[in-house]
Amino acid sequence: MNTSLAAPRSALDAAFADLVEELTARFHAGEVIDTDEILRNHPEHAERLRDLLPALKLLADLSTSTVGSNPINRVTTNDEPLAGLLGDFRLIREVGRGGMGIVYEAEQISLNRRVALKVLPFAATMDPRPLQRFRNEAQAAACLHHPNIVPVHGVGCDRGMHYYAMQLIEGQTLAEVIKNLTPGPLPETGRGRTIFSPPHPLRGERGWG
Amino acid sequence: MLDRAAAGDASARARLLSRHRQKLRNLIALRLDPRLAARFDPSDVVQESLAEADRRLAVYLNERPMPFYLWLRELTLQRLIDLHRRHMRTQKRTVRREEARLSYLSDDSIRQLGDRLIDQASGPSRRLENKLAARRLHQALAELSERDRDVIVLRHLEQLSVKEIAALLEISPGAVKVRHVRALERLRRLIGEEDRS
Repeated sequence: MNTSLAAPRSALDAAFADLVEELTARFHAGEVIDTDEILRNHPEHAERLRDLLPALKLLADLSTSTVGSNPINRVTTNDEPLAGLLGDFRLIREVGRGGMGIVYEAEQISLNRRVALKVLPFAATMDPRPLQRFRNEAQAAACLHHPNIVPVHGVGCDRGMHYYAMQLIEGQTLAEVIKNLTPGPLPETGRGRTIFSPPHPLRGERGWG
Repeated sequence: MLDRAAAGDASARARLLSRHRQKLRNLIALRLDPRLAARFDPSDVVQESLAEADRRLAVYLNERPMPFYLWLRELTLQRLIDLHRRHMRTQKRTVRREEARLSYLSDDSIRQLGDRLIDQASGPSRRLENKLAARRLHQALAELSERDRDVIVLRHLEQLSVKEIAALLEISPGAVKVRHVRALERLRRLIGEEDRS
């Protein structure tokens, strides 16, 4: 205690500022900190720190409840393979796959809604052509407004995975519809359309080439 | 990654632009005027700024006037300011006044912030406690000087690193830490005063 009191005030200030910064970083990382232990380990700062800790903890708690607790922050910067989260989307299940990608049922976290998420396989992004086709497909679909064309909500890329989000439409796949077809005239859907209206996002614009 | 993007690596470029998406989204969510929040999604603002960043990336990579995230942050904040200006004509003067502020956090958004934090508090048992804490906190934040508030907002709400804040404020990392402590101490006193009153 005597030695620290003898230290120049500015040096003490800087050391204290370092300690507060260290604690801030640990709070933000979601660490549970034993404050008594910190106070014991830093007797020279104990008084100031004791006064400051409640405010620091309050700020950290409240800000991590908006920022840090969101797991996306931690996932997006590394190179892990597809692991449940893609940008703003939490993957729920695979609903189908085709030559141009895999379609997942997903939850858009920020808007809390279900969407269909089409993801270009990672390998395909190594070659610029499928990537360009994938983008063209998303952009073309996004330009179209028609009740029989699945609306595109947005396009994105996270950890090198390219994806676009579409409205999720519950129903049968085209393959299922065809399988269930009985011989005879084409059945009509409830809206008076023939089965050639897309019953499922999987069919999307791929059906038209 | 910056160098790879500068060298024309398309996937590095895409990753570079998307890795800060969530952080930028929080940046906007904290500040989007509550009156506009029903019409505009923060993600859309971010999407537009990232598209703009993509267009201007070559110039940035050439000059690199500031750390990359701070550059994105500035573009994104500028988008938000434009959005506020376009859609809140009656308050043009307010917006213009706030533009000068570094952290660009209006008193309104600070007031909202407390409520938003309460909404996200987990579990009913912690709610009341959090509610009181959040209310005291945002009252205190509103009373802080701009200089103190900036450093608290940047460090805690935006969770910028000390290095990033130092670059933004054009002071040394050591000075950022000291300023942070001073701001916390003043905040602590303000919260303390409310306790007594």
